[in-house]
Amino acid sequence: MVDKIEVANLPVSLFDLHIEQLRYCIESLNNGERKMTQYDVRSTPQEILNGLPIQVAEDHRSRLILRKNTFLELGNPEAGSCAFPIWSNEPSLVSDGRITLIGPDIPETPDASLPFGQVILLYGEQLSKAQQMALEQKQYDAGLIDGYMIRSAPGRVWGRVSREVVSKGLNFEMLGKVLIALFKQQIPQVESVELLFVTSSKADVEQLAKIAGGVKRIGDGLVKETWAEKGFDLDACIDHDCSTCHEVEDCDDIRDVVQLAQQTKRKRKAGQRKTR
Amino acid sequence: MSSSSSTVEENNTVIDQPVMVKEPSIAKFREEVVNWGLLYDSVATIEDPDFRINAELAKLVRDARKSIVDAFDEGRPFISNNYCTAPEVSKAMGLPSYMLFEAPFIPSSKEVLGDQLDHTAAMGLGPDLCTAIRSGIYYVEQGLVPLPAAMIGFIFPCDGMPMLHQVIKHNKFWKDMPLFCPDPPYFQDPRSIDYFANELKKMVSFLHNATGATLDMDKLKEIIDESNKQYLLWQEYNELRRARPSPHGYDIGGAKCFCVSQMFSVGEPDGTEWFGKLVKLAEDKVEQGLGSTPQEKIRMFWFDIMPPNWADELFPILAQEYGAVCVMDMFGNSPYTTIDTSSEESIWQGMAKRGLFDTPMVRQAIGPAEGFLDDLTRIVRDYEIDVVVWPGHMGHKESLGTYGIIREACKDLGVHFLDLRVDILDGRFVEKDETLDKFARFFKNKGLA
Repeated sequence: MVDKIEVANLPVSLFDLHIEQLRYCIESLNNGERKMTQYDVRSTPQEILNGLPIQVAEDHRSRLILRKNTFLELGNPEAGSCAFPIWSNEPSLVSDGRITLIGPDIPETPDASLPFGQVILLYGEQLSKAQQMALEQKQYDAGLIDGYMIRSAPGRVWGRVSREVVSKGLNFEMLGKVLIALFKQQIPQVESVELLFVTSSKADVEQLAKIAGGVKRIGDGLVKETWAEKGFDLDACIDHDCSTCHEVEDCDDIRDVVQLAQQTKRKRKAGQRKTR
Repeated sequence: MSSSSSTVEENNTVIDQPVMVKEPSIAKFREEVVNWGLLYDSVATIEDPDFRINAELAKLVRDARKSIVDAFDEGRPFISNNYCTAPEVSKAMGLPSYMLFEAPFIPSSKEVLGDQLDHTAAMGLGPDLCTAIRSGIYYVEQGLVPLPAAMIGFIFPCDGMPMLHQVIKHNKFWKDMPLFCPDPPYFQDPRSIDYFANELKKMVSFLHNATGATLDMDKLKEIIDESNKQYLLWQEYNELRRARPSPHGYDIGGAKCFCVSQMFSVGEPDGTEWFGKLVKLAEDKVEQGLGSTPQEKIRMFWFDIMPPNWADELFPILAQEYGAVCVMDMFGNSPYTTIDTSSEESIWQGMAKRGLFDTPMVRQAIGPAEGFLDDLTRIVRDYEIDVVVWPGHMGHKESLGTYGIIREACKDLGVHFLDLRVDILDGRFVEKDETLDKFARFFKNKGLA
């Protein structure tokens, strides 16, 4: 039986422990062996979007990048990939506008296939499970940058960057700015956004993946609760609670048939023994 | 890496000698070798590259069939296997294989399928049983497929499949054939991968006992490395289908990519070459802005298997009348990750994950409805879908259980949802005109036409 997350029993700020784990992870990665860069963005979402040298699709359509036009790829599963949003109702846990990059930046690594970790930390007093699905979907919105494609690979951020957009100046600072602007602009409950990008190694990205596992379990629980409130049970029959299952009659019928078949078989065998 | 079969918990039925049975049901496969060969011979004369890429598949199908016929003639064992039970393994063991219920999906069966299904009714099979299963039963009962030395059963994702195995166990030719069904866990979590990896190892022991074949891990690694290339090319191809207009519609890609990578050319360079050509063809079309139809207006996601026998009676009309193009379908979706071949354990884990979490129908239909939801959300977004078509195949009862959730999710995503209710294999289940009329009224009511 798989551990079931009873979201109702968890503390109000569901992911605070994971944010603490993340802070510890960043500290351990920042031991002088890796390049670490930090940016602090203070502009409003509109100022960010107006001041970009690159286009962000207003029609919400992502643009295709062909292999021959590719400058580099981020998060190819073979190279290492991990991405997740994580949120809190506690303002002190998220440094608004902070972008942390551990590892090389985009323009430094032409033709590379870089490991990629992307964690989006969010604060909002009103953030709740109702926004969980929207936050999970929004993490792919960097793909609206003309020249940055998020490949259609479920459950992961696998990015492809074009030569053209790099020549216009795309780097992780700019990528982070776009994500900050889009989250704040399009999800009203989001008040602060902080970003972590990791490109240093597959092993470093896998450290994030350990935290991601716990985050996903809670996130899935939140999504299930939201659906349950709409009257849909995503788990269907997995609780094995026959008293509430609408298929109980069918199951009982099948049991009866199996019992009958076994009885018949036994009788037949007994009859054969007598005949002998 | 050493050459060995793996050590596993031994609880399978062990037989003393490999089974080698000859019987006359190979005739249909011989015929197919000839017919696919003839089709392939004509490829050079085909000018349209879209037609040619499909016709080139004939070689892969012919070669797969020929491997069975050759094994039969030479007295070597071959097996019946499935796409979701690590076909790379049997390939590495040198065991040619075919899928028992593949017949209705192959174009050569189109003309006879109706009669065959009518016959299954006379055999006493209920018409509500999935057509693929009924067809598989018919082929066994009528002796239209050669008796394999062993069979890997397919008890997931749908509950109807065990019916096929029950029939096999009562058929006078098939009943003594060794049968092994890897047990699929319900959940998609790391424990399931460990469990299913062990089931696959048991499968190797079973195949060894049943056929005498051994698993060469170096060969398996080689095959998986090649199959990884195929999946990466498939992924690349799918990115190209996101273009507006989409380079291909219902007739190219999707199901064919599945057939090449998981049935007819598993981990073979020929299959990889075909994928390479497909990607190049699509890249060229995207660069030139060419689509499958001159005026693409409506982008559809067909949330099931593409109908192999009547799609060409429906989609060309939808494209012509409404500019409606099917840009993605359930079997065309490629969520596969490559398998790490750096160690034996990562190979087993990777194959388990591929069989349980990645392969179509299994991915969506086994486990909680989250799988359906995640795929739907991502596909609608990435492929800019206007209409999700829910075929509601009569045999996919496990999917029908999620109907309400999918309809609700489409509402949340702001995408139109069309509920069809068809038999994806048997075009007679619903009249073609009725289906076309449903599309026409739907497009009109939603302001799409």
